[in-house]
Amino acid sequence: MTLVFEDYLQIPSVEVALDAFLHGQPYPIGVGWACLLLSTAKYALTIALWSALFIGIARLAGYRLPRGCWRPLESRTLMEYFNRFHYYFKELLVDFFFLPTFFAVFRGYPRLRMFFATFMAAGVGNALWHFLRQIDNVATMGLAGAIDSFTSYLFYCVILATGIGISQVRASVGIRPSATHFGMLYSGLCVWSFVVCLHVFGGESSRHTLLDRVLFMMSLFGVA
Amino acid sequence: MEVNAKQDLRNFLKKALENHRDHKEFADDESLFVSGRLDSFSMMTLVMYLEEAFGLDFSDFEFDVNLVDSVNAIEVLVDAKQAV
Repeated sequence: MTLVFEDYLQIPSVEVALDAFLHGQPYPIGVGWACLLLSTAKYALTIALWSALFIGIARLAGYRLPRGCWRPLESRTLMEYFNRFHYYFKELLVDFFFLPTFFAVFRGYPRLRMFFATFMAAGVGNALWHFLRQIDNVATMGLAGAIDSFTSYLFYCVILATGIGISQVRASVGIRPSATHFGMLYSGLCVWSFVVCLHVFGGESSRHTLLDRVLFMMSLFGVA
Repeated sequence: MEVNAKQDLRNFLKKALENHRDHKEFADDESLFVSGRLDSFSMMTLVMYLEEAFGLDFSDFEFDVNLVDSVNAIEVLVDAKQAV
């Protein structure tokens, strides 16, 4: 995919576009958006590829796993996106964060209970998973440096979890996207616009701070 | 479990499946969660439904997806808890 997107199409990754922006030589806004769109597409395809590989191997071994990355472009809500995009990662977060929270707190407040449990899974669990995955940063940067380099991903988790939590609460009270073709298209576009914009902050590279990424995002809207 | 309550439960599950764009019928002994037809978020809305409709308190026991995996399993769970 890097060969196709970066070598043949000559569309750089978001990290390269960020570097160019920070060195005072930003790409034109259109190219910046192309970088972001293609980086999101590349990330989605990578997840789909690995998911399909794992599910395929498990099925060959005789396990009846239902899905990995399952038609995420059809998502009409953020909750649906979270369910479809990385099914078993989500299930892991549900088992270790959502369920314990859900059964423990805010039992008398159904919406708050659902939101908080969702936030613990998609936000806290997600952040903890990724921080521990790069735990070697603590050895190389020190704890403060590792946390500092993680602020962008932490921001990503907080915004994603808040969005999914709101989406979950809306669904639980019966608010759903319109079932018309226009409604489906509109809600799908809203979901993926959110995902694409958030992708700027989701890079696990520790080279760019949250502020760098906020400024880059603003530049894509012509603000900075 | 009373007949009306069971029908309400079936209607709830049918609606949950439809929200997942699954319009196939389901039998009382058919797996809904382990099979992947419904996901963990649907399970939580089901838990809230069971707490409200039948007064179950899931913090009383170790939660296991198999306890709510089919209409029959839910019926056994509700009957057992209401008998206590």
